[in-house]
Amino acid sequence: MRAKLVLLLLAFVFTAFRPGIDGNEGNEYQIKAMFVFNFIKYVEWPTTNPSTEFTIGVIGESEITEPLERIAVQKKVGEKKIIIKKLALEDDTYCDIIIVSRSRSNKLVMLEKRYANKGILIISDEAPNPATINLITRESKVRFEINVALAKNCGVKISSQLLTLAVAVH
Amino acid sequence: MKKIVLTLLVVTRGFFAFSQEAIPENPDSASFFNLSLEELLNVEISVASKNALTLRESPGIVTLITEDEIRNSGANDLIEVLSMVPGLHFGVDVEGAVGIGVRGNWGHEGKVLLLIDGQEMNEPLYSTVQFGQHYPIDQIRKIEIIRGPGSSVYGGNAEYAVINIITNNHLEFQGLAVTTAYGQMSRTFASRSISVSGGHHVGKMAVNLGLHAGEGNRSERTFEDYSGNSYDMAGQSGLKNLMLNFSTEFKGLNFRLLTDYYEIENKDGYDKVLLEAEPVKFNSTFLDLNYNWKITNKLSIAPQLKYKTQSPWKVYGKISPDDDEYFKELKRPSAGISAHYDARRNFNLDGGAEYYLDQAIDHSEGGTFSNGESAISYHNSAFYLQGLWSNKIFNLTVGARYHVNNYYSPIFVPRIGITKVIRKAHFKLLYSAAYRTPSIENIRLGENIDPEKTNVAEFETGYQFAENSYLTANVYDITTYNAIEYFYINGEEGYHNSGSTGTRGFEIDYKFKNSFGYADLNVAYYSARGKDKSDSYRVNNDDMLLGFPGFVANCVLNIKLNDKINISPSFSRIGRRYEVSGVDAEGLSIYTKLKPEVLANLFLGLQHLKIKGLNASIGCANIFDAQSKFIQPYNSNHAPLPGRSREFRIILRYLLENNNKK
Repeated sequence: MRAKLVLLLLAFVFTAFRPGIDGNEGNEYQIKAMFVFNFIKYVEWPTTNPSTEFTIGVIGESEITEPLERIAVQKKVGEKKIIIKKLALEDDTYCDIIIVSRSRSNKLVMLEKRYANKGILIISDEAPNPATINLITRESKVRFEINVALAKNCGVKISSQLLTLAVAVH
Repeated sequence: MKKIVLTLLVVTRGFFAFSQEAIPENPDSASFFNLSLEELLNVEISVASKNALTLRESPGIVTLITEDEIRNSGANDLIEVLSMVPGLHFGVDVEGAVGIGVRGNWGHEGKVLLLIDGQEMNEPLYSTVQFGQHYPIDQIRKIEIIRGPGSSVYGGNAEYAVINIITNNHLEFQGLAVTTAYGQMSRTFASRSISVSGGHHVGKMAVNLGLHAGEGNRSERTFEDYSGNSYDMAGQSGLKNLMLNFSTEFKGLNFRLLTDYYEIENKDGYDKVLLEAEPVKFNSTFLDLNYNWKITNKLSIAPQLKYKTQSPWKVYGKISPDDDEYFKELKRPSAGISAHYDARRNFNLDGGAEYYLDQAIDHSEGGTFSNGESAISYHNSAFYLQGLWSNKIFNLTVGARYHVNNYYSPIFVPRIGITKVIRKAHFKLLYSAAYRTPSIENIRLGENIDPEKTNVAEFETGYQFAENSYLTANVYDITTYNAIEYFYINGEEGYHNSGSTGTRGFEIDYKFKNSFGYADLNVAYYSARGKDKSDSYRVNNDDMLLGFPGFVANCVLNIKLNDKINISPSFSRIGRRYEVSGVDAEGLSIYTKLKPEVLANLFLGLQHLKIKGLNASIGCANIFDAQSKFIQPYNSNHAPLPGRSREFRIILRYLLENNNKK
């Protein structure tokens, strides 16, 4: 009986606990998803894509998918509706952006070859050998690095403004 | 002393609560939507990101069904969807009602919890949930099924499993969807329905509305009771459902109104064919007001006020001359609070408390409860606490729930789960205590009835062969003590705590997906060998239990022929099972072993039929016209109820999405 009472009191103390309010913080992948959405403003795609949809593909299991889907419901790219697609590694579907999960970062070289000059921005997540843009975390904040040569290889143009915000430009 | 402590807690805290989500939704990212890149660079990452465990890590045997899988399957009823999940079966109760079983055990009365958007569908008189043309599946976004106990978080109806249905909401869907379906058997229609749902933002307020009206026939075959009386079910086994689901959200404050009207046209009575068909009604209304208050990035709490009223099994007004009226109403106000605290990046706590009052009123003439009055009340308080510690070696979940009621003995149920992912393999070792609270009618018809308790041990392992190719396998052992059982002897009915019962078995599930489609192949096996078998569940010299097959194999396929056409065949091989086929001259039950049967379905999915957003599913359910039937899984004089014959079905869905937000 004593154990049960202790449990009750623990539950009470727990629900009564009120730490102070911290600063502006968020889930890592919510922030990363917003970074991806913000990158769109700073990247130029070839104008040959007449689609009415802006497609973001995610290769591999990644927690970024769900916040991206929420953004897709809330936002548009110009007049284009945002579509989020989960892609298998063997999928050869056109997307405006392809995000490669951490678990699939060892396939980046193959993917960059496959999508060369197709006008697809490839973004990696904490990859040891980064893609065109690589999302990283430093001191509890999200940062990104850019590989200009890979951008050229993919056929997308990155604005100089974005380059100035990157922690590293290769 | 107990009462003093509880009273103190109620008074000082104000209100009690509980959490309803099996897998919590991520916090809304709305606050980040309008941040520039420069501003985002200054946002710190919260420690919460480690909290969300993947399915491979979560401490439960879980099946997730998505809306695409439901849509592609061509299913038009929850029974069809859930029958493809390993370990789930269906059987008949009484008065035409069909209920669910889990891993060979009858779970209809208070052992399987069904949640729709956090609302507990189980009615508190008998704690049952009715299936068959009930609950609109076209508005479902996903179904999470915990194929094991969930009592330590979800309470006294989650003894064997939890089915958590989440419908469309404003975060995933804004626009309008209209679905209409029609199914035809050879002699009468199987089902016809229309469903409308929509989501919209008005400033910072989001609203969602779902409406559904549907009806069907349980079967077109002949039902025959043990006395040889029979009736044609075509046109005399109607099922009707009307549901409204309205929700709104404003800055974290959520409100929901859900009404569910379900009606069974009943002619098979309790144990005999009735002289006339009569409607049995199950009407429910749910109100829910809650607030998601994120106090810091580490602590969030959710106070919640709920109210539900239900009048299940209502036979009133139009009744057969050889039946009795039944009209009892239940009102349940509840208040609570749940909390989530991220103590560290790798350690978090979930806890909560709730209080609810069950008030039952008997509207039938002269009807009384266990207190001899036409109204009765029961007070319930419950607390739960669960911690998750993720370290380099494993994920450890430890939790417990404590439930107090003013009639029966208090209940304490702990659980522990250890999970580990090693590259492509995962392991789960789970041990849970669970319970079933006696329902209001259990108490009325039972003498000194107490909660039944269940202990479940489970081990799951899985392997990820490729990106979207998983194999999982589990073994389990279920033992229920103090089982609450129904009896009907010489015209006297009642409930009592009998001995123990249970099963053990295994389930294997392989899922594969690529750009050409997907496959789900699963098998489930159970046996009651080595377990005590009560007279109600046992069959002759066999380790199976009454009504449920020892072995079931399911196969669900989806093949994309091109961007607009896909084809979905599915098969279910239901192994041998037992029914009670009658009573011999000495009044003893005659058990008959049924041969295995194969149920097969084939549906064609067509996207954007001439008009963008117009999709169709056309096909056939029960292609081989198997003579499927729902068997009563406890021996109580109800003959098997025939199921549906071969059915040709068309489902049309028009989706008008609106992404012009804010």
